[in-house]
Amino acid sequence: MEQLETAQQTKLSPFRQSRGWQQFRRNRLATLGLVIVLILWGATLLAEYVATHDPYEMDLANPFLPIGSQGHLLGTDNFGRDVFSRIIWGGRASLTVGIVVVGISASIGLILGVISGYYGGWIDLVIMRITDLFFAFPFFILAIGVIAALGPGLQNVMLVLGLVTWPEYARMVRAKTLALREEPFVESARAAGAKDLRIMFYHILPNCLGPVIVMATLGMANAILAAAGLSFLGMGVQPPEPEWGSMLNEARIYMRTAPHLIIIPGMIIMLAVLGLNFLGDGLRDALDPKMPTARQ
Amino acid sequence: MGRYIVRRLLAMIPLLLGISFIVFALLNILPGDPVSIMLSSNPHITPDANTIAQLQAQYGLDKPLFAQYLIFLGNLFKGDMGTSMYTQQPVLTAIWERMPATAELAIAALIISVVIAIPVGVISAVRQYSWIDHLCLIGTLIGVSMPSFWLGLLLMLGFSLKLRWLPLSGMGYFSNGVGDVLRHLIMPAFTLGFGMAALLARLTRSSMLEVLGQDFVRTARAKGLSERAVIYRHALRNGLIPIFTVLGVQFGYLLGGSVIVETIFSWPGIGRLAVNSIMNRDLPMVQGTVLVFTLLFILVNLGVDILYAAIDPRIQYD
Repeated sequence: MEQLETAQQTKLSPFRQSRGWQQFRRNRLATLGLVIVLILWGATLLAEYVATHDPYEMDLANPFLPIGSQGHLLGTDNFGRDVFSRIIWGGRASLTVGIVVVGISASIGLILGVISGYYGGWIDLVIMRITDLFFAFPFFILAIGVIAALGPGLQNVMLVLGLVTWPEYARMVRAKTLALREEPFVESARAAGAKDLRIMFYHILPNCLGPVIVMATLGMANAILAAAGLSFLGMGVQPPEPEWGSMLNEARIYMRTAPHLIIIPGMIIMLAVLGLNFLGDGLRDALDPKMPTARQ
Repeated sequence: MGRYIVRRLLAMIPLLLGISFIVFALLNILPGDPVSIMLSSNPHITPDANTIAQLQAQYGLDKPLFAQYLIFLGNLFKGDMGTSMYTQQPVLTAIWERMPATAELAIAALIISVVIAIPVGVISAVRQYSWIDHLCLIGTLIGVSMPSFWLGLLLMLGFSLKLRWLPLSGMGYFSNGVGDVLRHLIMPAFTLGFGMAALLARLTRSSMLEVLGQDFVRTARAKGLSERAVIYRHALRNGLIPIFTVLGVQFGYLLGGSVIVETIFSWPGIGRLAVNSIMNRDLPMVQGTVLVFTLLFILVNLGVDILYAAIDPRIQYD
């Protein structure tokens, strides 16, 4: 039996044989996280086909319908708009926030981190003092401060969260670079005449990918949570545009009459964040060899 | 030790300068003239060039930017953070009035989170990979993922609207008895502390696992100590040191969370003041609240670092 299994495994692609993939598959929570993420984001990407109603269409004759009534899967809100369709369309804002914020912060962090670690000296000193400065602020407070200056809106929220969260990546990549700089393969690349830029981007950064992927997954979860919080405070997506955090904010005054308007968007935010956190946790077990693995 | 403290205090000077510059830059370099923004938010005033110029002079906005920063910095040293554009109250007075409310909430949340997190983390480390460990892992991931504003609203829904056990919002006062204070405090403090409890529990677990694998724990077991004594007297004491150091960083999450929690529960603290002043476009007040929150964060971290150096003899002071 064992022989049969190994025989089957040898037929698998190198990727599926790899230690990381095996580790990851064994972690049931991570798989669950991946499934949650795929379902939620799949539904959001296919919102045109999944949503049953126009998310903006009001039906003032039928407000506050309960869950599962008259073809409204999750009921209707104070304007008689279909909650299910608003949730599905609202996912687009969260999805965009997650991707754009991580894109901004990871790019800045990776570039500054590798430069800082590779060149060292005064460049390193200046970059690290800047990251210290960013770490000195409580992150959400700095974010609302910048929003106060720039004004509310989804674009500003993404920009702010991206600009506030990059130092984490910079520190990690710098530490990795410091270690990798002395590795024989980097030495040999240098001996072969590779330019600094080539060494940094072709030899060093790809070796930081594992922890960066983990950080990006967890960072996406945090970005979605923070953006929903900002929208909840009225600083993010503005009504009537559907977004989970602002749906919760709009529903606050109707808490007594229609508690489902509070329960549903919050649960969806939690699911989206939880899925990413499960996934990130599993990826860390799979990709970071230093962490204790085998959580079966 | 004394030299270490002095060095840490000196290192704060450039940090504070940097922070004050960022906070100043935030609201002065960015596009948009604060005076016209303020005037446009008040429908009772029709702005003419004269009033604008007068107000600009009043707030020093007609001077060059760097001069403005120096004035801002000089005023900060004198404890003057300007006056609110909305209520005309001095910014520092307004913040000072709300400090006790925020402190009460933050301390209560900190206590709640430590009381939940340490036992949970210790149990899951001691019984690693058991069903209880798995349950705690899932629980902590849910705790980290749960939006605090949602948790707060759910608690209000359950305990205030349905069960009618607790007041919906606001703060209690000692003049009405300790019960009044606690009944108002419990929901917001739990909302704020819950997410932090989840983070702390995970840290406690990994820190305890590390300590439990060390030689001195094996020695303690080998000399025949009971498992309770090994865990609580030997392991936990050492396992708590790294947790203590992250408490300072976690305090930042607490301050950020207080903005949301104070808004939901109408808690009269600095967080709610910050949100209200953003809504009113009251820039000096926004500046003041961001600055005070950041100062609190830095001071707490400094305090934690110094205490840490005092607790752990392995730390070198340089």
